[in-house]
Amino acid sequence: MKTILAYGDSLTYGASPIKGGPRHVHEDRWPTALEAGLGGKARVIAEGLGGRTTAHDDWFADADRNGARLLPTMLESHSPLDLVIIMLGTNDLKPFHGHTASEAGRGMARLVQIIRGHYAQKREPEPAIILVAPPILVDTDNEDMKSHFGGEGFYRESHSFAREYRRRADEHGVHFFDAATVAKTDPRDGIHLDETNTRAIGTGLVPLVKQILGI
Amino acid sequence: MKTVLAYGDSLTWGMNAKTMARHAHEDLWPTTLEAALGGSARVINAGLNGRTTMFDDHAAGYDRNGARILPTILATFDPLDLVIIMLGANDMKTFISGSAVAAAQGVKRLIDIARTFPYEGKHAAPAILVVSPPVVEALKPSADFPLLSPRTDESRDLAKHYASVAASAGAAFFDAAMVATAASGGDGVHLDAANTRAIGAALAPVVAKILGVREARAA
Repeated sequence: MKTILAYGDSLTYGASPIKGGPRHVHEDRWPTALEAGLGGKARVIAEGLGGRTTAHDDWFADADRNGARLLPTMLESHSPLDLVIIMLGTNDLKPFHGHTASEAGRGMARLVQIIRGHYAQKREPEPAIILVAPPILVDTDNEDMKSHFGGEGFYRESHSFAREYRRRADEHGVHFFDAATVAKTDPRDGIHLDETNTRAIGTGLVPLVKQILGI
Repeated sequence: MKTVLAYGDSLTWGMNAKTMARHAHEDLWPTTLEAALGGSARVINAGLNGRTTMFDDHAAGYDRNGARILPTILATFDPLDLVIIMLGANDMKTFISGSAVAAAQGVKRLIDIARTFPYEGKHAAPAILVVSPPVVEALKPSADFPLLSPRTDESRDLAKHYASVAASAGAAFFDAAMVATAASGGDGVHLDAANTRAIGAALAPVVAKILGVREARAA
């Protein structure tokens, strides 16, 4: 039995694109869909936190949204791990964070360093890593969300996630997957995904994960 | 389907002191609890080696302060029906606090955090079950792994103080020392597989009652 950690933000948590809507049910979250697609050969642990960034502080919430600060604790809590899948970056586009896909890519590279350092320190084998470029943001009538994420100028940045993350993945010798190829953002808030598109990420990852884990 | 968070330390993570590796998934107490609840609840294992109730410990390269991390864990797994807190063994380390009273104050702080966290949506805060950990056995002084002071018998007082804190907070309480012993674990602190499983099995009726669900038929 293999163990996979899905480290992400509200898209991994399964937040609703409807304002005030409930969390997507367990079966509709992408880590669950991925686990189902692996046919009992792996457990997928979902660590998705709304607002999580790659490496930026954000004290708008009563939770630690800095992905770099929390990652060692999450790794330790769920080890031993065979694979870590990281899908972050959407929140990095907020104007008060890094603003750009390029900065988010640097944050993802930092997370790779953290994983490698964590297991090197413990003299344990390191898990494989997939960097996942999140889906592309779309225009919306939800002005609240639009202004929070900086409007259309910042939305355009999300088209560059795939290019930037692939570059960092190649540099560091880790795997890459572009979730924008399988999931479309819900225009009701321009950021989050409906159930079908959330599940699609898990299903879309199945072949790559099988190949990496040899299952 | 109910959701239960098991917030703990290495006894929840499942440290096997004889191999210094993790017990099999099936032997972890959150797993045996989930199995005993027969599909009516999912139990999330949030165990972390060395986690304390509310104290910093920079002896490891990750955050062991249970009070600092709890809000992030609550936000990650929200909505939750029940939070089970089993911490305190690490608080017995003399460089942490070595005091059962201080550990109970830490548990009180964790209850406050779980009760007052600004959960999304309008649902109520989860129920809380405080679990006093198995008694830390008298340790042979060990050069390799001097976890606790062999002089202290402090952990025997955890149950008394936890029961009191839980009662005044209106939280449920269970004493895991009634069903599990560290005597056979290898280092005086950690549990073997059978004693780890025993905690989940013993918690099942308590949890079923809190959640208003039925246990699985006895296997």
